[in-house]
Amino acid sequence: MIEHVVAEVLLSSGLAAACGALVVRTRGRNAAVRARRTAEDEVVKARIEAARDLEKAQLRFAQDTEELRRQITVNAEWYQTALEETRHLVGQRLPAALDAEARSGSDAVVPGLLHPLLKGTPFEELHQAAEDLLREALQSTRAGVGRAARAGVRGMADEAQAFLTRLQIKIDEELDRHPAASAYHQSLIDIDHVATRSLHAVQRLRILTGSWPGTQRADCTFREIVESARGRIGPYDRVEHTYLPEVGELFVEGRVVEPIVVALTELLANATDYSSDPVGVYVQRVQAGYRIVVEDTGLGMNHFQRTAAERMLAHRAVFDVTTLEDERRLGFAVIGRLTHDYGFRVDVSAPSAGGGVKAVLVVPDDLMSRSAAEAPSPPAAREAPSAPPAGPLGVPGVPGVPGLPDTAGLPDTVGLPGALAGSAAGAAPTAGSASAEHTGHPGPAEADLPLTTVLGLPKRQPKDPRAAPRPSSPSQEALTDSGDPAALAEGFEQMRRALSAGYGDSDTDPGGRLPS
Amino acid sequence: MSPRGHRRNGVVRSYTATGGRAAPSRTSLDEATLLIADPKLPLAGLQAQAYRVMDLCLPGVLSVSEVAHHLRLPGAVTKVVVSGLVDSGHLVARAPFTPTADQHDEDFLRRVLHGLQQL
Repeated sequence: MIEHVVAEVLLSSGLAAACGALVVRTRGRNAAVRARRTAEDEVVKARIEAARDLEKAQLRFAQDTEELRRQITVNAEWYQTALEETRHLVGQRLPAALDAEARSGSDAVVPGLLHPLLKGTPFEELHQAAEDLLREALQSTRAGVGRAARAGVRGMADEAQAFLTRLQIKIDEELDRHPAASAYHQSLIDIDHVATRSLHAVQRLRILTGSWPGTQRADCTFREIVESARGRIGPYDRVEHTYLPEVGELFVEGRVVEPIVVALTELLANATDYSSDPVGVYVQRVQAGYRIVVEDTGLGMNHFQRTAAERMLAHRAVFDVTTLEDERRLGFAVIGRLTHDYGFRVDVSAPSAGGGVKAVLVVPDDLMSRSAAEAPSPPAAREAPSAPPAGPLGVPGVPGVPGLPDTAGLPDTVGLPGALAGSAAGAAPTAGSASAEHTGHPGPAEADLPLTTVLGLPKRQPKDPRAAPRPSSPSQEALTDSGDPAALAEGFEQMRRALSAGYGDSDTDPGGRLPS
Repeated sequence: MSPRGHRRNGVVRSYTATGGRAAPSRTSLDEATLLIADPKLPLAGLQAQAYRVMDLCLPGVLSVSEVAHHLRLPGAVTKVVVSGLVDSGHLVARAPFTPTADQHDEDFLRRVLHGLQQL
């Protein structure tokens, strides 16, 4: 039993032990399992971690690669862009700049940067610097060449102008030398027209080269200015000058006479070139001066031409050989230079009633002759002899004043009629109350002199010179017969006074005095 | 006016005044021919130079050479302008005074000389 007990005990203990051991083992196993699980978890975690890291690294690598690839592309693009930009600089931009410089005043557009990408980069700056350098080199070369060319042209124009002016003077002398008209005169006049036109061509050339017109005139009237300009174009007979004596005899200051004549010539040339109809010219008083209007009935100018003309008129720069353009615009360039230098104005923008071009040249008051403006005291008043109005024509004793109020201030132009009218009146028999100072030369001559009309003028002579034989000796220049030697002497005295009054303060050259 | 050596002669060329003609329509004119204007005829429509001749002649009698001086044109050219005006009746041309008889009366010539010396 014991054995049993023992066995029992043993068994139970063994069982217990076994149980305990089992428990322990189970526990141990559990612990081990747990540990293994933990370890496994760790491993998994680590693996996941590693995988994630790898992934990250891979991603970063990929990104880096992508970045690098992009960089390479960008660099290639930059290279391409820079190459294209430089090609553009050489191929388009510089030639355009060259072109614009060569034809200054043209509307050639110089392109800027081709790629906006390069804005703000050194490329922009450097390319601009290259363009500037080119422009500068061109400009300085051009200025030098232009200066030299202009000086050369001016010199030649000067010489040609001097010769042509002498030719004109010579023609006038020749015309004057032989009083009787002949075929010779006709030839001279024809030659004169050609010479005058050549002179104008030379003048416009020198004006375009920045020079003055080359001729200084004395003060001249509007009539002379318009007629002078008319004579410088080809079809001068197509110019209809409406002469109005109240403005036509006003004097323009000598300094601006030639420039105005040249400018007016250009306007007339334009008007007659572009229309085959008559061209009208007239002078008008305006607000602060006078205007010379040239009106044609041609096609007129379209908007573009008008704008171009106005631009040329406003152009103040000196032109050189490279800027000479077509004929029509050249005329406006000549005018533009003259108006800028001399202070008168030309306007072509006004609409013309006839549909053509209406060009207006305005001469402001301050360019009018001072001497004509401030000498209104008529010299006729002092030179007029105290003679009654003479002659059947009712010729007034005081000349110039009634019919010609505008010339009253001009001793040069009224002196002669005054003198003559005075002597005519004074020598007439109506001036019977003669002074006795010259009666020391009585003579029978008066009895032989031709009969006079009742009013004291000589009887009309036949117009044919053969019918009225003239002596070969210089003709006696008495205007009328005098019935009385005293009256004759008185007449001479009055003539002397009138002449000295007429010539005393004027600077008339002696070439055109009374026939004697 | 003070030419001061500046030219005023020759500003207007001969042919503009005459329309290119050099021969006057009448040959009877000479430098001393006197011109008398007819104040009744209208001046409108005359060429500028012709108008000017009329303006010069209206106040009194002028000779052709005086007109030439005022127009600053050569005498031969002035004659063309003037003869046109005579043709149109604007001007009456009158031959200058010439004593028909006793052409060389010494006393008359002496008086003329005296008169001239007084000038």
